[in-house]
Amino acid sequence: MQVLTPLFHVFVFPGFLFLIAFGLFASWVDRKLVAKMQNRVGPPLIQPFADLIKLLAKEDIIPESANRAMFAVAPLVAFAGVVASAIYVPMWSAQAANSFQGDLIVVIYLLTLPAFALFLGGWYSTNPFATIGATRVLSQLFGYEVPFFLACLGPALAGGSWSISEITAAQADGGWFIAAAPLSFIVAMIALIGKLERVPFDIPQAKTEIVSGPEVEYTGKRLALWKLSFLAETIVASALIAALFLGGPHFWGIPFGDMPAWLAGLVGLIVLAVKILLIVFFLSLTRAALARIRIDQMVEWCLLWLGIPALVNLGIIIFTMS
Amino acid sequence: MTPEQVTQRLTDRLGEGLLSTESAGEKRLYCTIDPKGVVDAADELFNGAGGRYVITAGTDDREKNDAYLVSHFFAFDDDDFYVTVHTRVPADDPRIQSITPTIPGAGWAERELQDLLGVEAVGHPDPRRLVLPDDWPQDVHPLRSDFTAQDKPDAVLDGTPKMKSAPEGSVMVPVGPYFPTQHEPEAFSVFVDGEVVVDSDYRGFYNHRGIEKLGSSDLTYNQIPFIAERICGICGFVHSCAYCMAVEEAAGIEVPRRADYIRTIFLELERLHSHMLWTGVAGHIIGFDTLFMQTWRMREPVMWLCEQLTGNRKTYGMNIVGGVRRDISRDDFPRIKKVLSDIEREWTALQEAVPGDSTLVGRLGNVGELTPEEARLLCSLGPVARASGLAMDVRVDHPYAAYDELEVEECVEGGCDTLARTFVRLRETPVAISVIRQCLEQMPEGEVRAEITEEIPPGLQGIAAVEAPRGESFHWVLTGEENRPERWRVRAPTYSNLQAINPMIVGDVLADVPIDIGSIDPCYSCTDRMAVIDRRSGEVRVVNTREL
Repeated sequence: MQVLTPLFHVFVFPGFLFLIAFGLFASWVDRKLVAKMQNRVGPPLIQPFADLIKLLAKEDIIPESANRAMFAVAPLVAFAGVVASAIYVPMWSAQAANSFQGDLIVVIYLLTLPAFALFLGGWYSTNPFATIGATRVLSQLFGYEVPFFLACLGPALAGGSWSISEITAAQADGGWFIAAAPLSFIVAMIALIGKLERVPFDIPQAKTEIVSGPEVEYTGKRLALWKLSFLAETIVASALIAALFLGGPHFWGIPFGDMPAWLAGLVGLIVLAVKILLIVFFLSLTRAALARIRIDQMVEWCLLWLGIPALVNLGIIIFTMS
Repeated sequence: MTPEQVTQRLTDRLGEGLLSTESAGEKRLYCTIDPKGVVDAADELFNGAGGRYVITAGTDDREKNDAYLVSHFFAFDDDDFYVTVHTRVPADDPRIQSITPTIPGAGWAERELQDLLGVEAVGHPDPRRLVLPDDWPQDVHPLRSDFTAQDKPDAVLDGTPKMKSAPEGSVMVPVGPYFPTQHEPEAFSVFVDGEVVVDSDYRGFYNHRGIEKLGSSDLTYNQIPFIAERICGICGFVHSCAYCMAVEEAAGIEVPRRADYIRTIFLELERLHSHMLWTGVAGHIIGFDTLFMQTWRMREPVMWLCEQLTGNRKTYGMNIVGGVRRDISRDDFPRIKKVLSDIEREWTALQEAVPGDSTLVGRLGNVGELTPEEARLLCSLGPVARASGLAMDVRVDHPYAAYDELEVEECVEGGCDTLARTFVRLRETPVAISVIRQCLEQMPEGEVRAEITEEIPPGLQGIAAVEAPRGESFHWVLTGEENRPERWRVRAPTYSNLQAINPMIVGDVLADVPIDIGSIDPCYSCTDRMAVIDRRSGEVRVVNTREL
C-alpha cells in the first residue's frame, strides 16, 4: 500500500488521469462559455475528448531538419513537469499529496517547464514560424514570470511559510489571503493568462500571425501532448492560485472536521473544482473580450502594470506584519 | 483643370507628338499620341496636371492598324473627367517606354502588358513576370488574337526562382500561398531581421483565368455581366455594374432611372455587408474573435435580404446591358428598412466602442503607415487612400448610377495607419445605410430595362468606374464585331492597393503584417480576375459559351 499510494497520486489522482479528465472538462466549459459570449452554440460536452482521440489517431511526423531528440522529448517534459507539480498542490484538503518547506518554489519552477519545453521544441523544429514563436515564448516568459512569482510571494509572507499546504491551512478559518494580498491576486490572475498563452497573451502561438508558432510542426500524439500539457497546466495553476489566495478546498461554514475523511475529501474537491472553474470563467471572459496584443506591448505592460502592483502589495504585507 | 486645359498642356508638351484628341461628352477625353511621347505625356498628366493614374490596357490591333494599342488611363477626380492616352506600338517592334519610373503605381500594369500582350516596357525597374504562371513559355502571349482561349501551351520549367531572395542578414518568412488569415491564394515573401520587416515580395495571380480574353473571344455582350459578377465573391455586383455601364456609355444606351436606383441600392448593400465582413476579419486577424462572430451575425440579415430581393445571397445576376433584370417591389421596403435600422443600432454601439478599446487601438494604431505622397504615387484607392488623407471617392467625384441625386458623405481620415483605415470603414457603413434610405425615398416608378433594338457598332469605347467597398473598380470596353467587345479591361481596386503593401509593412514587426495586409481589405480573386472551381470534384475549369 505504501508503494501504491505515490503511484496512485502520480497516475490517477491528482496526477495523470484526473488532470486529463478535469482539463478536458474545463476546456469544454471554456469553449462553451466563449461560444455563448459570441452568440454561438458551442461544442457538446464530448467534443474536447473527441478532439483528443482524433489527434491521437493521426500520423506523427517529425520534420527532417528538426533535432529529433529535442523535438520528441519537449512535449513529454512539459507534461511531466505539470503532472509532477500537481503532487504538491492541495486538491482535496489543505494537505497536498506531498509537501515540504519550499514546495511553492518547486511548483512555480515546474510550472515554467511547459514554456521552456515549448521554446526548445519550437526552436529545434527549425520552421521559421516555430522559431519566431519560440523566441516569443521566452520574451513573454520574462513578462509574466517575474510578476507571477512576486504575486505568489504575497500569500507566502502572509502565511509565514514556503509550503503551499501550510499556506492553505493558514486560511482554514476563513481569512483568505485575497483579503491580505488583493493586488497580488489580480497580478497572479493576469500573469496566469500569459502563462497559459491565452488571449490577449496568446502571442507565442498567434495562429493568425505565425500559424500557431512553436507547435506548427507538431502533429498527432505529440500535438495532443502539447494540448494536454496546457490543459493540465490550466488546472494545476488555477488550483495553485485557489490554494494561495482563495483558501484552496476550504469554504466558510463547511465543517470539514465533523465529516468522515472520504466525505471531507470529496466536498473539498468539489469546492476546489468550483473555484477552478471560476478562474476558468475569468480566462474565458478575457478571451472573449480582448484582442491579442504585440509582444513588445505585452512585456512592457506586464513589467509595469503587474510588476509594480505586486511589489506594492508585498511592501504592504511586510509593513503590516512588522 | 478642364479637358481643354489638359489638351492644351499635352499640346505644349508633346507638340507634333499629340496625334489627335477626341472628346466624348464633357467627362471623357481620348488622346492618341506618338509612342515616343508616352513618358512625357504620363509625366504631364500625373505630375503636371495632377491626374491620378488608373490603369494600362493593351489591345491587339494588328488586323486593322498593324500595331498594338497601348492605352494609359488617368482620372481627374476634382473635375470629374477621365483622360485616355492611346499609343500605337508597331507590331514588328513591340516595345514602349515604361512609365513606371515616373508613376510607380503603373508597375504591375506594365508587367501585365508584357506578360499578356508581349509589349515590352523598356526601362521598367522590375520587369519580372507578374500574371502568367512560372511554367508558361516565354514567347506565348494570351491576349494576342492568334491565341485562342482554348489553347494550352506546353509547360516550360526553366528552374529560375521567380521571387526575390532574402537580403543579407534577414530571413524569409512566407505569408501564403496558404496562410490562416489570407483566405485566397497569394504569396508574400516577408523578409525579416529579427521580427522587423525589411522588405517583401509578392506573387499572386494564381487564380488568373483570362476572363478578359474570354470576354473578347467567346462571350457576347449580355453574357459578360454574369461572368463579370463572378470575378469577386463579395463585390461581384460592382463588376457587372461597371461592365454594363461601360458598354452603355460606348453604345449610348439610356438606362431607365429606376434601374439606376436599383443598381445603387445593391451597390450599397454590398458595401454594407463587405465592410461588416472586413471588420470581423480584422478582429479575427488580431485575435479578437468575438468581434468577428458579432459582426458576422449582424451581417447575416443583409445576405437574407439580398436573397429575398434577388433569389441569391451573393452573385445576384441582376445586371444586364441596358438596366436590371428584376424590379424591387414596394412590398419589400419595410423589410429593407427593418434590416437597415437593426444594423444601424448595433453598428453605432460598435463604432463608439472601438476608439475606447485600448487593445484594438494599441494593435491598429501606428502600424501599416502609408503617407499621402506614397498613396498618390502608388495610386492607392478607396479606404486606403481616404485613410491617408486623399479625398477620393468615385461616388462623389464621378457620380454614376443614381449618385448624382444622392447625398454621400466622403469619409476621410488623416491617420495614414491601419487604425485610420478601420475608422474609414466604420464610418462608411452608416453612410451606406443612409444612401439606401435616400434611394428608397427618391426611387421613381417606371421601366427597369432599356430596349436595345440595334446592334452595337464596333470601334466605340466606354469607361465606367464604380466605387467598390475597396475602392475604384474600373472597366474599359472597346466595342467589336460579332456582338462582343474587342477589348474589355477590368481593374479591381486591390490591384492598386496591393502595390502599397510593401511601404506599409517595412519597418513594422512581423506580428503586424497580417493586419497590415488585411487593412487594404485585399481581394485576390478580383485582382487575379476569376476562377471557376467545381466544388464537388475540385476541378478547375474554364467556362465556355455553351455552359453559360
